[in-house]
Amino acid sequence: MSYESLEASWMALRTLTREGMKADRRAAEVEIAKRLAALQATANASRLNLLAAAAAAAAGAATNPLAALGLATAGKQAIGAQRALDDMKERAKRLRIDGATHEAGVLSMLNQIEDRIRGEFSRGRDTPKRFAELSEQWRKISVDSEQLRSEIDEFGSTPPWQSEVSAEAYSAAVVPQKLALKELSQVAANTSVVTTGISDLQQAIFVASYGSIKACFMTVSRAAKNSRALAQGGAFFHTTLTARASLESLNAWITMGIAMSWLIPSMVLTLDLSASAENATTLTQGWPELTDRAPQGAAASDVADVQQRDAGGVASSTTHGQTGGALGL
Amino acid sequence: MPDDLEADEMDPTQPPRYGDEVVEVADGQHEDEEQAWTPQDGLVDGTGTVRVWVDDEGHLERVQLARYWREQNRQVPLEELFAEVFLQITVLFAPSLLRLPQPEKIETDELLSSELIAEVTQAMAELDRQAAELETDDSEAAQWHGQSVTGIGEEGRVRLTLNIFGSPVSVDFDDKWLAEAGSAQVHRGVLAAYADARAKFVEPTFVPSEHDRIAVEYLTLSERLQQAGMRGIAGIATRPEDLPPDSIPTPGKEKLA
Repeated sequence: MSYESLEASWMALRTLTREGMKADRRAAEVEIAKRLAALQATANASRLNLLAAAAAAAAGAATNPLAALGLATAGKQAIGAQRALDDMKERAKRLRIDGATHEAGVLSMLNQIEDRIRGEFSRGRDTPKRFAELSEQWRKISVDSEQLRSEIDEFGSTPPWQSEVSAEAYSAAVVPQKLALKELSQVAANTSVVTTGISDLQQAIFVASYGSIKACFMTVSRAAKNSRALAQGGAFFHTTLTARASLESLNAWITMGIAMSWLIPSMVLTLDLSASAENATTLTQGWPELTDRAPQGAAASDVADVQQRDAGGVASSTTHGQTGGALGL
Repeated sequence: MPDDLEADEMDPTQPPRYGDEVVEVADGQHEDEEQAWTPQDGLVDGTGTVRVWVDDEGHLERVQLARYWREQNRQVPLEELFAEVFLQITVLFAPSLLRLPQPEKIETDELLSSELIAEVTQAMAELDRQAAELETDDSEAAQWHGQSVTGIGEEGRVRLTLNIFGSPVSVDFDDKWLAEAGSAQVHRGVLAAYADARAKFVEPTFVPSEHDRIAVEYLTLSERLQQAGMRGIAGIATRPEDLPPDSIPTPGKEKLA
């Protein structure tokens, strides 16, 4: 799973959501228009009623006091009809405002998620591949180090030198080198595993995020298929409302999920990496010098003499305590 | 006259007060044109003939016909006026139809690994294929399964029907009965028919569609990866429980600092 796949799934969800909102708005407008038209017709009927009553009242007002009552009643009807029509128009307006509010909520979610995808997710786009390559390089270092240590162990521990003293001194001096190589191999092997873990973790974040985006897509898609029928039944903005709730859930997952759930495995990797480095007690002091860690039983002065002779210079007095033999190499 | 109202009320020479001044308001008209609609106003049809009060959930509580309802009924059938009010109830008190998919429970102790990621990726590719097939299908998926019900009042002379979500959609009156009925009988008949219908009403069930099934599977696969990562990573000796408790930062905390 690549960042590109993740981004493509996001683009599809964004397009679907925007189209769904437009369809919602159209469906709401159609239904509102139908209802207002029906109300308008009723209000007109009521006005006709008023005219009829007014005409009757005008004809009989002088002689029939009940006609005045008829006029008042008809007037109430007309006021009621007009007021109800105004009410419905006001409700339609509020409904449009509600719809616009829901749409604004959706757009806000779309922007927030998109910022994360184009920001944090994009930054990690090459991580799976790059860290897989790094892991392979670490693995190779581990294998090569171990190979070198093994070959030194086989050929360098009892080197067929003409000078037995030199051979003995070399054998003693090479022990810390072998120890360092062994530690290097172990640290490299562990770093390789940790580096694979980083690659896997980033890959897992992409895959899991892809799945969450696709789940959101399916939910919005289902709502969009039912939205028109629901609008006809009075349930407006079904896709918009569904998208809003679904995107809020997705946004929470992407922000909190990654911040919390993925934080722990990433810290595990970091802790493991530093622990393996700390275990390399020889390497943590730097790569051993040839004069370091004289073998147990060999007199420091002998080693120094040999070194002086081999180098043709002044004997060193440097000696260090621990030996490769003591470490079991 | 003193400004202090209480002192004024205590003055035995003042005329008695029985409450706030009553303002005569025509049917369907508000006292204050700027005042927003409140549930106490009830829901009224376009002619102001039918007014219905509902509770917080949209259940009918009270019905009132204007004094001129019989005259109005000759212009527009009472059934249509009620239907218009019922439509408003449906719009205002529509039940939440939101159903967001949730991941299924996962029972496994697997760790995060390249193999697991490959398995999940493959499963998602199969879901992608199924989802693509669904997108080419334009048919609507009926998700709410239920029955509309009809209740009766006034010995069957009033018949009120609820939609599958329990909202009133229509009422029918026996014409002969209506011609003789008083407004109180109509009020009583509508409320009785509504109560009868609600007693018969059964909440609709949500039937997940293929869209929902696929969404749940996507989420479950995502959750599987997330949970595996929380348990640890294959090949890594360190486990989440090895982390020092104070080493896990709280998201957002650093922003507050």
